[in-house]
Formats: sequence, C-alpha cells, structure tokens
Amino acid sequence: MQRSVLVVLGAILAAFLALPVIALFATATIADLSSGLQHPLVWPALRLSVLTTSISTAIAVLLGTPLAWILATARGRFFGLLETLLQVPIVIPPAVAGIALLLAFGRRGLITSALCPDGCSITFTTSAVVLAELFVSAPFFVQAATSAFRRVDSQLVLVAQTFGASPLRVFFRIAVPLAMPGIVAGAAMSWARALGEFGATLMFAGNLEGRTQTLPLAIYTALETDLRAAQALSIGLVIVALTLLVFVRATLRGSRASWEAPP
Amino acid sequence: MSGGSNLRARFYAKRGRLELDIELDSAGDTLALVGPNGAGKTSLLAALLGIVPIERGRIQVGDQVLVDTETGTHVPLAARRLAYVPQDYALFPHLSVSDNVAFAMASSAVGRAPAPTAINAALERLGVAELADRFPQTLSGGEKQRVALARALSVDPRGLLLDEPLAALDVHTRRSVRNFLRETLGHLTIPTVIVTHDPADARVIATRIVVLEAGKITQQGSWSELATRPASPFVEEFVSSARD
Repeated sequence: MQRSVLVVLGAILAAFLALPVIALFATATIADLSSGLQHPLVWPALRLSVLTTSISTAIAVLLGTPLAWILATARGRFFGLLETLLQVPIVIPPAVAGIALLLAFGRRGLITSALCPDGCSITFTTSAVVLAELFVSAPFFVQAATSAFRRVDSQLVLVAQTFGASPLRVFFRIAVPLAMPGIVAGAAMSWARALGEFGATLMFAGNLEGRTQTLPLAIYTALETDLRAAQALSIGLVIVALTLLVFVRATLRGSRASWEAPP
Repeated sequence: MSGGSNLRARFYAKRGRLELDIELDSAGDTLALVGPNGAGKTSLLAALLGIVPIERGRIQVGDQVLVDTETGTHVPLAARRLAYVPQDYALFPHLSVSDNVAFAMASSAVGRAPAPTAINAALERLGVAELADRFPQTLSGGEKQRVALARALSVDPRGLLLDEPLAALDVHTRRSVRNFLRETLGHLTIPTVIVTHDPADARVIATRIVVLEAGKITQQGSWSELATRPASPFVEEFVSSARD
C-alpha cells in the first residue's frame, strides 16, 4: 500500500522524461523523415559534426588519458583541487563556457593577444567548433578515465615497478589495458557530449552553414522554417545517443566479466 | 645459500604513528617475519622496496647499497631488483602466464624482448611450463603462487620478498604449497623474507624467525630457540599455537 505511493511518484517523473522522446518519434511519419532529411542544411551539418567531434574526442583521449592517470595516482591537496577544477566545464552553463572561450581565444582574448599581438582570431572557424566541443566534453572523458584508473589494482603497478618497468611502460602495458573498458566508455560519453554541444559553439564559433553549423545548430536553424527537418534531425540524434548508451553499458558490464572469461 | 648475498638493513623510518627501528642481517637464512597486527611487518617490506622512505640508516643486499642516508644513496624502487610477491600474487590479469613472465623479463632488460626459450626456462624452473598459455584467472591458488614465483625469479632478483604467501590459499592446498615453498626457497642463493601470521609457515619454510613488535625486532632465532625461550607473550602464544 505504502509502496504504491512511491511507485506513483516515481512513475510521474518517468512518464515526464519519456513523453517528449515518444512525441518526437510518434508525430513523424516515414515520409516526413525522408523529406526532412533532404533539407539542404542536413548534410553539411552532419559532415561538420562528424568531423569536429572526431577531432575533439581524439584530442580528449590523447591528452586526457595521461592526465587521468596522473590524477588517479598522484597524491596531495593540489591534485584534489585540480580534479575539482577540471570538472568546472561540466557544471557551468554552456553560454558561460562560450563567453569564457571568447575571452581566452577570441580576437582580443587572453591567449590570442599573447600569441599574436597583431590580431588574429579563430572565432567563427571550424577550429573554434572543435575547441568549444573539447572544452565541454573532455571533462567527461577525464572523469571516466580517472575512475577507471583508480580501479586498477595498485599492487599490479607496484609489482610491475619492482621488475624495473619504466613509468611509461607501466602506463601503456599495465594501466591502460586494464582501464580500457572505462576509457572506451568515457570516450563514448565525451563524444556524445561533443555531438550535442550547442551553446558554447553558438557563442564562440557562430552559426555559419558549412563552417560552424553543427547538427544541433542546424536543428535550431531549421526550426524557424521547417519543423519537419528539425524533427528528422532530432530523431537521428536520439537514435545515435541511444545506441551509444547501450554500447557504454555493455562495455562497462563486459569489463567485469572479461577477466573471468579470457580468450 | 651463499653468504655473499646477504640482506643487511639498519634503519629508522616513520609511517604514520608507527616507528620502525630495524637491525637485521639475513646471514644466509630464509627469514620469516612474524608479529602482531600493526607491528610493522608490511611497512618493513615497504621500506626495503623503497615505498616507505627511510629517515636514517642503510640497506644493503650483497655488496649493493640500496639506501644510505649518510652518503645520500637512494636506489629507486624500479632499480632495486627486489622481487616482491604480494598476498594475492598480483598476476597481470590481461596477460597470459608466459606474457606475465615476458613482461617482467623485458622490463628488467631495458626494451629487449626475452627469448621464448628463456621464458620457458623460467616457467620450467617452477614446474609450470604447461600453464604458459593460460590466463591467471583460470589458475588454482597453488598454480598462481608458482607462476608468481616463476615471474619474480625470472628477472634474476637480488632478493625475494613474499607477503603472506599462503593466506590466499584454502587449507588443503596450503600444506603442499608450504612444503613446495620450503623446497624452492631453500635452493635460492638470494636473501628471502616471508611475512606471515601463520606459525606453521614460519616453522616449515623459514630457517630463522624474526619477531617484530611495535616496530622493533624483539627476538630472532630458529623455531626451537623461540619455543624454548620465548622473549615475549606474543612469541609464547605464537609458538604454542603451532603445537598440534
């Protein structure tokens, strides 16, 4: 009896979360979808999104994996503080991230004026899209990879060192393979976040078709003229996100079983 | 048991509230390090390995000085060549048995891939060559123990440190592995230290028992010496609990 009260309360929220997604699919016909996907904004935006998110995710993994290993193994207050600061991009509003990026890398930004005082700027370029995506998504990767590295048995690392293994050898041959499922899952989550990036891109890179207009920006633009196109794009993104979610869950679940049933 | 490669340690170290004040010479013996919980057994191993820094003193294996605070000598963990086998053996779960050994050998011989015959010989020495292609999680406790020892000895270490080598085994395997360890360790010419809480291990495997209490060595000697003249209530309890 009392449990049913909890069930009803929970069901209200679950229904609220599910309904918009259901509406997205339920109100579209196949014909709507195919005509929506032929909208001229779609393919340039898709191409740009694939390109920029691939680059930003690659950078996040390449630089974020060593960073995560340092955070997972280093001790001291400094690294605890650093870890917290690295999560700031996750919690600040995307619009604020956009302003912050402008102030750092914009025409008169902190970094820009130091690097090229004669005035140069990457704002409103495809590079700016990559930077915006990297800024908002890399923290997700670092967070996931750090917790994956923390689960690596420290005795394994210690024993590897007693054999004379160098820090790089321990990292590449022991730590990374053992943390691989977490690293892959983190990369997938980070990529999904980059793919959905909207606010920071809009403010820092603008909304230029073919150059900075990624899928979320194309949806926003299409909405003004053609709701069907916006809906078709949205459905596409939801399918990608769902696939990714299933993949991440399977990877993390597989990681628990994989050492028990080796090849 | 050549007298040429003894472990000699004389140092003072602090780890949290524990103060270690150690004077120890292996003198060709296989040492069992025993003592109550919190006496500093694991910390002593950690100090030998170089994880716990030493405030003053000297650690030497054979004629190789590992630490000397007076001359400022400090050989880092990765260059000490002290083989360490932790309680759960720490076999690399993502590598096969032979790759576990290959990793160790390649790590010690800077970037050189070990010959398959050398890997096989290292496994053969502990009678586990037939396990070469298996993965650690498919091995029994006793097999893991042998593979871990084979891997540890494959790098030709200066000394061997075992932390509770039998604690992870069930009661039935424990006896045979214990006898196996006595056989194997008895043939080694490098100093060997075994941390254990089990009187039977100390009696069977070691040739000398070192009692550590509150960071200090309170007694050392053979089993019968400890049994006839226990220097502390702990030793008295320890030797009597092994009498069947």
